[in-house]
Amino acid sequence: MQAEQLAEAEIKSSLLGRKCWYAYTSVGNTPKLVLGRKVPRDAEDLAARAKSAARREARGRVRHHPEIWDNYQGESELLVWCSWRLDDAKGPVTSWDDEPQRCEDGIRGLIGHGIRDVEIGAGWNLRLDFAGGLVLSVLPDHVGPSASFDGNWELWKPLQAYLIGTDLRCEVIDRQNRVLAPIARQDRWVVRRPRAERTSR
Amino acid sequence: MSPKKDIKAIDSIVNKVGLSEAQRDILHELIHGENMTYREIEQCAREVKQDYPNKK
Repeated sequence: MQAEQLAEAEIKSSLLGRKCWYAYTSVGNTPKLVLGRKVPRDAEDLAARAKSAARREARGRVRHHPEIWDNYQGESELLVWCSWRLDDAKGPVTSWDDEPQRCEDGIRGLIGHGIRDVEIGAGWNLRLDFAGGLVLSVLPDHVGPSASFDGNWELWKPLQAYLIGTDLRCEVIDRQNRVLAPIARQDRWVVRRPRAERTSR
Repeated sequence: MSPKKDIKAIDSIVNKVGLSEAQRDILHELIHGENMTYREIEQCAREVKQDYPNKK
């Protein structure tokens, strides 16, 4: 199986049937959906988060994420940096171009619903159908060397991540930021090389 | 700013500070709902890099 085919199959299987237990939008109306089993965070992650929380408290900032998020990550986490739209049976609910609060409310509406169908189209267009009737459509529109953002959407798993880049290809990396490649005729990944460090464009 | 300008600003900060995708993911979480200025987000990005050195 070719790398992109294997990645697509794994992305689909990592999303299908998974229930969304946390969701939010961040700066630029960029959603994150936290899905599936609750995976305990490792000690290093917990320590870094505690440090960050103490800093936030010292600055008098309000906590915005639920307590469970401090201790658990999702079995699958979808992070969308590119254009998206959320629809229900009646039509559009919200999209990346909407008011931030409407985006936040719309995306939070996915919490508690499982994904009942996943479609990945040409150029890594992604469509997620949720039980309850909401449909999230993701359009990778950051393309080429002058894209406003270096990436489109990402699926994070505890051990590896699938990154849809501005070349509309899927790069698979491990948690040590090394690029993975599939083993010929076997549906598993091996480390190919370390990724290049990010530099100013 | 418009959403697209906001994420362009994030991209600029991520490149300036030199965050990996994993560190960028954490930054995304930390700036949620904070209504930060560009400089505050940049400071947050530097703290992410410092706090999560192994997510390079």
